[in-house]
Order: sequence, then C-alpha cells, then structure tokens
Amino acid sequence: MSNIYLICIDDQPEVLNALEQNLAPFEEHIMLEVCDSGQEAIDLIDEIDAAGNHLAIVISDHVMPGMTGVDVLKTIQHDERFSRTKKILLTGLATHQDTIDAINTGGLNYYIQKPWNKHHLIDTLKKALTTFVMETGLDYKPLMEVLDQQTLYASLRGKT
Amino acid sequence: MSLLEKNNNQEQIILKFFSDQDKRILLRKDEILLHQNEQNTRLFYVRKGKLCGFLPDKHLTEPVFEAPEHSFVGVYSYFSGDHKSYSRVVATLPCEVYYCDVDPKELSREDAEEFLSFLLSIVVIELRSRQQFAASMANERQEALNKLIQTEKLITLGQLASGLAHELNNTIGAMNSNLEQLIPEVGKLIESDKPPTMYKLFQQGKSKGIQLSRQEIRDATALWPSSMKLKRGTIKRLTKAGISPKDVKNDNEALEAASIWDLGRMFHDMQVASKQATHVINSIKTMGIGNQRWSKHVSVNQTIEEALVILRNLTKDVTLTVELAEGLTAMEACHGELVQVWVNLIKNAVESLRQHNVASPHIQVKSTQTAKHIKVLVADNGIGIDPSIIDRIYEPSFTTKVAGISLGLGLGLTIAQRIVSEHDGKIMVDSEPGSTCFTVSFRKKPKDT
Repeated sequence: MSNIYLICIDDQPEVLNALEQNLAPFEEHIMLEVCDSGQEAIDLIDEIDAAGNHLAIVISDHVMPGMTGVDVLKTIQHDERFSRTKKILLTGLATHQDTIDAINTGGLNYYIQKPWNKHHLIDTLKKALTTFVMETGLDYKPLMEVLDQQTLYASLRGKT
Repeated sequence: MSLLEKNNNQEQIILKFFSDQDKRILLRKDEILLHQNEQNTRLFYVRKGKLCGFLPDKHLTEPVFEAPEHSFVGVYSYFSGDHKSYSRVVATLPCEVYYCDVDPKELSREDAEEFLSFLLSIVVIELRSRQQFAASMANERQEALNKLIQTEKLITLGQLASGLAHELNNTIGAMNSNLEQLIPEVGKLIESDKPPTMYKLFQQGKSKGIQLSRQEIRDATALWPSSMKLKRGTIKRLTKAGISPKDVKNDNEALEAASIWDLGRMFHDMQVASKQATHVINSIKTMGIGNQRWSKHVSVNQTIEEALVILRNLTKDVTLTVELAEGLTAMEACHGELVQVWVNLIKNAVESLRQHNVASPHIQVKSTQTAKHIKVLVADNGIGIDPSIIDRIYEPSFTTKVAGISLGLGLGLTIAQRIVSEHDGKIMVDSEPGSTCFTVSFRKKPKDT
C-alpha cells in the first residue's frame, strides 16, 4: 500500500522539533518527515516518489542556508510528479517580494506566520490534506481523523 | 547691444573712477565698513579681500550677501533715496577697497552717460549675484535640515531598539528563570517516581537534545523490525533518544521511555531558544547605546566571532570562510565597538551580494598579524564598488542600498571608520568586479620592556 507524506523543512532544530511534536496527530495516519534543509527535502521527495508514495504537503521555512523556502516550493512546483502537492510557507521573515514570488512562481497554497498557533496550523494542514486526497482520488475513509470535514463534504457534493 | 556688452571696457571705467589713492580704504579682518542704517553716498569697489553683509538678528548668523574681489558694495544705499545702508558690512578677509562718490551731475555729458550706463550694469550684475547667493544659502539650509532629520531618525531608532531590548530582556529573563527552576523540579519528580534508567534518559534529553541528523533518524527508524507493534511516531522518538530495538522490553515501557526523554529534550530546546533570545537582546543593547568600556586585553578573534553570531541569520545564504590567526596578540580596545565594526563590514557585504543576486555568494573573514600590526580582512565576491563612488563610501548618509533592504541609514562605514580611527587604526578598501576587500589594520602597542 502506498503511503501519504507530509514534509516539514526548517534549518532550526528547535523549531523543527516543536513542529514535529505539534503535528504528531497526523503521524497516526500519514508519514511525517522533517528535514534540516531544502536540499535534504528535495532528495527525500525523489525517494518518496520512486517508492510509489504520494507527497501530499510540503511545509517550509523561508530563510535558510542554501535553498530558501521559496526555492524549494518553486522546484516542487515545476516538477510534474508533484503537481498536486500542497505547498505551505511557514515563516517569520519573508519580505513582500518573497511572498509575491512564492505565490506567483512557487504555487503557494497557504502562508502561515511564525510563531504559529497549533490549532490553526493543524486546521490548515487538514484542509490541505483533504484537498490533496480528493484531487488525487485516494481513499479518504481511513484518514477521516486528519481531514477537514467541511472541505471533504464540499468536495463530495461537487462530485455528485 | 545689451547693457553688459556696451560696458566691456569695464576695467577702464573702474580704473577711471575707482583708483583715487585718496579714496582707498584698507580694512583688517572683522573691521566694519558700514554700520546698519549708516548714511552712505559712496559706491565701494572691492579690489582685494572679501566683505559680507549681515542683518543683526539673533537667529540669522549667516550673511545676507557676499562681496568677493572685483565686486561692488553700497549699491543699495548709493542709489536709494535715503542713502541708508540696510546691512552691516564687515570685512571677512583683509580688504583693499576703493570708493567713488562722484555726483554724475558734475561730470561732462559724455562722462556722465558712460558712468550711468556702467552703474546700471553693476546694479544688474549685483542683483543677479545676490539672488544666486540667496538661493545657495537656502539650499545649504535645506541640506543641513535633511541631515538633522536623518540623525534624528537614527537616534529614535537607537532609542526604540534599546527600549525594545530592555522590555524583552525582562520577559525572557522571567521565562528563563522559571525554566531554570522548573527543570530540576521535574527532574526530582522523575528521579523519585521512576527507575534510574528513566531519569538518565531525561538527563540525556535535557543536556544534549537531538544528536542525530534527520537523515540518520530516518535511516535508524527504518531498521526497527515491523514485528514490534509500536507506532511510527514512538519508534522515531525512541530512535532520537538513542534507544535501539534491543533495549526495548515491552511496548509500555518503550512509550514511557520515549516520553521521558522527549520531556528532557523539550527543556533542552527551550533553554537553547532562550539563550539565543538573550544573546540577540544583548547584542542590540551593545549596538544601541554603545558599550564604551575599554580593556587592555581584547581578543580581536573573539570580537569577530561575536559579530558572526549576531549576523548568523543574515549570513545564512552566503558561504562564509573564516580564518582566524592563532595566537593573535591581545590589544587595548573597546570590545563592543570592534564587534560593531565587523558587523557593519560583513553586513554591507551580505547586503550588496543579496541586492545584486550574486551567484554563489561568498564572504571571507580573516585575521592575521605581523610583527607590528593586527589585520582583519573582510572580502566578498560581489560586483565591486564603482570607482566613481569609492572616495565617498565613508561619507555619512552615502548609501547605495535600495530603500527597504535594510534599516541602515548610510552610516555603517562612517561608524566603522570612526571606531577604527579611535583605535588608532586604518581602514582600507580594494575593489574590483568580483572582489571587494576591506582591510582594517591596527598597530600593535610596543611591549613595555
């Protein structure tokens, strides 16, 4: 059976730890991976795809050494294998221009400011995951606990 | 023919009317030629030196006109009906002045005509030069005002920063001291309630945090046999805690071990974060009010390292090469101010690299020493400084940064230069496209022998 992945990227270990901890509820149902750098994430998503798994969500910090968050999102955006992947920027320090760039060329789906609110973060991720699952045509039933009900019903109604 | 051209034989006329040795006045510097409202029927020609007109007003200390060599003074009072000087005319340089008090009515008709048209041209020329003078004075005043506004802004910013630092310092301080209290309390609880191995795990998490890289965690997690019915999240936590499958006796114990280690890890992360916040706050305080303490044994390398810590976030997307000379002689310096110099130089380099989107940006920071000098070098591979502006880079408020990129107000290099020269040092720049290098060199103090 193929797995669904959620990837978090941040160069600050303490932030990454906190993020991983906050997102623990997802781990009961989908795969949660954390990466210290954009490059590590890019390598990881290749593996994920090669193993026939789905990359549902990438959530990244912006200011990082090497690839910035927007760079990572752009790379994923331009990769046909990940055309349905939901892209989220989680940052406390992105300029106006960076944000415009992320939306226009990185196909940004959500923008979350640091420090984040745990419930808001989880709600946003649930919505993103629901959209991904429905667009990809995956079985949503085993995932009910980590899906957003409203988005799910709207999607189901739209289908019939 | 215009009025002015008709009188291109001005010199001859000046010779004719303004060369009478009996009507020659010599003035020392600061000597007064005319008082305000003094009766005057003379027209003065400044042959040498310079005169200025002042209006006695406590707010207006600048002259209202200047009369350099070969210009005329007393034009207004000579022509006006009441013959009163409207300003006080003072020699600002030692002067040689000739005057003419001819009444044109007493001249021959031909001479009178020549003299009157000459006078008219003087009036026109004086009018123009005084207008120009007024305009340049207004301009200067505007510039001074602008500079003042910028300085004011900078001061406000400094006050704001140090106010902010102070406020945050208190909050972070409160959080930190509670944390320091909380950690041993929780430790005690664990120690009394749980077996020693659990307490050890807590201590490990607390003192070291996560030691493995994310990739190592992924690889190690994959090694757990699927026969164990642990949740993936738990396996990951166990792996992070350095617990391997063989250490696990049963599921419940494993779960607890992971939780207790994680508890320690959370404290570890909180301490790291609070330390970082304290550091940032301290550096803002050092920047803002200025740490003016001088010490005899300052390690230049240490000041460089501190600057790099302050700039850690800014230099993230730049490759940084740091080469610090071993056994660098300590020097007498103001520690905080030296840190400021490196911060300013490195920050400039980063901002220039970023602004021009330089591919593979690189900054080199190096300290070296010779028998007599300590040198610090900050180099970048940016586009270089345009030769046409290189002489002006230390001027206050001279900046090539695009608005919005930084809060810097064009004082970075000015401040750096001020500090370096206070340390009896020199700052030099060598720049070409692809390589800009600032070298700061301090003279070593001869050893007291």
